[in-house]
Order: sequence, then C-alpha cells, then structure tokens
Amino acid sequence: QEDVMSGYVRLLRRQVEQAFRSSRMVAVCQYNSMPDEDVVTMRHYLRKHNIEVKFVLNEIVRPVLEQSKYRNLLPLFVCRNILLVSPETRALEMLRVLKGIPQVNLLGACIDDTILSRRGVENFAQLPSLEASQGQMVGALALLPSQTSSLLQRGPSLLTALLDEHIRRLRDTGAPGKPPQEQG
Amino acid sequence: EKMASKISVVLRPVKSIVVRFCPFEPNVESTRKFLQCIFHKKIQATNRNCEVTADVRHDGSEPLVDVMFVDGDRLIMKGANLTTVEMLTALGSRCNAKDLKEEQKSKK
Repeated sequence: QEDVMSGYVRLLRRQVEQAFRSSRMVAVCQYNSMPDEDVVTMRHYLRKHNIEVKFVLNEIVRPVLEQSKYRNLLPLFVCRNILLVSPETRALEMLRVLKGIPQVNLLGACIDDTILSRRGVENFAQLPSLEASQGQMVGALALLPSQTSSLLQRGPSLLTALLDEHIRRLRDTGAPGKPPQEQG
Repeated sequence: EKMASKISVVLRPVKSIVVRFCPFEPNVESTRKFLQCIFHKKIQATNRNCEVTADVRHDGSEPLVDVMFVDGDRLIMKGANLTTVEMLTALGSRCNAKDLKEEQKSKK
C-alpha cells in the first residue's frame, strides 16, 4: 500500500519534471472552479495552439521545483493551479484564449528558461517572432545591394532605349535621311 | 482550510469584486484562496451578474480585495493580515445586512 502510493507519487513527480524539461513554455495559472464543459472547451482551444493543460498538485510540484533551476516559481504554487505547457512559445494565442476565461488567472511563466511575471508574458507576446525579426533584418540589409544591379544597368538601358528609338524613326521616315537631333 | 469553502456568501447586493495580488510575494495565500472560494458555483449562483476579476501584478503592491456594491458602497479588504475565512465572513455579513435592508425597504 505504502509502496504503491510512493510509486504513484514518484510517477507524478517524473511527469512534472518531464513537462518542464520538454517544454519551451510553461505557464502557471490559478485555477478557480469552472463547469466541466468549460474546462473541455478551454483544453480544446489551447490544444489548437499546441498548448496542453496539466492539473498539478502543489505537494507534487513543490519538491520538484525546489531542486531545480525553476525554484523562483515556488511562491506561485499555493491554492489550486494548472500548468499550460507547450513545445512552442505562442504566448499571444494563449493570452487570447485566457482572456475569455475569468476563472483561470495567469500568474507567471517560464519561457525559454526565463521566468516571467504576467506582465512579462504580455510584453513577450507583443514581440514579433524571431523569424519575423530576422526576416526584417535581412530585408533591411538586402535593400541596398538589391539596387546595385539596377543602378549599374541604368546607363546601358538608357543607351539601348535611345538606339531603339533612333532605329524606329529611321524606319518610319523610310529612308536613311537626317535623323532628328537627339539630346544627351 | 476546509472551513473557507463552507462559508456561504450571497452576492446579490454586489456589483463587482476585484482581487489584486502579486503572486511572487509570500503573503498572498489567503487572498488567492478568497478568489478561489468566490468562484465556487454555490456563491456564483447567487448572482450571475457579479463580475469577479483577478488583477495579477508584480509591483510589490499589497494583496487586496475590492468589492463594489450595487448601492454604491465599497469594501476594501487588505489580505496580507487577514485569513480567507475572515474575509469571506466579513463580505458575507455585509451582503446579508444589505439584503435585509433591501427586504425591509420593499416591505414598506
């Protein structure tokens, strides 16, 4: 009986360790009672953004956190809590879903090994994605070199256009008469 | 601990409740527990129009419960040195008193 209980406790602890290890984002929320259908709906909408809802017991989580680098999250684990975990960091979508659920209150999160307060998560959510920022940087740097080619071609292009026009006029007048004076 | 969830509060005379706390601070447990109890379906059922909001901060401000009543009264409870039971009881008795007053007024 004793062994079964402590075995179960060990299993639950391992699950919590695993959740922290394999997630880039772990958000801690206070859970206040909600009708069951609402819990299902919440799980559904968060799943769409690759976020899983985990109900956790403080007695299980606290010992795990105490001996890990996440120990600064310890004060959050009083009363009833849930963890929202994801291998991605879609904080904006998470906040949008939570906005419509007053019974779940975001307390803080650990995103990419950085502990954030609720405000920190909101600020993080407003940042453009790393890919978008990198794209903007590359775009800005590539702007000047992209103009070099067309700059170099301007001279010859102009010359070609003038010569084309010249040929057209010669053809129109029917005979190689005196071409009209060209400027430049 | 368990006592807190047994306390009944009738939210009829309450317009809104804002529960403010800094979760990373150590003195917020009773306030958070208050928030948890207020969302209990029995209490929620007494007034579906009562708006309960959690204001989660990280600025060292003290934990606080701010209750606005329909008749314009306001009750502010500073949770740092109060237990959940104390806060629920205080709110509950205010609500009962207002309900009683309302009943007497309508009887006249």
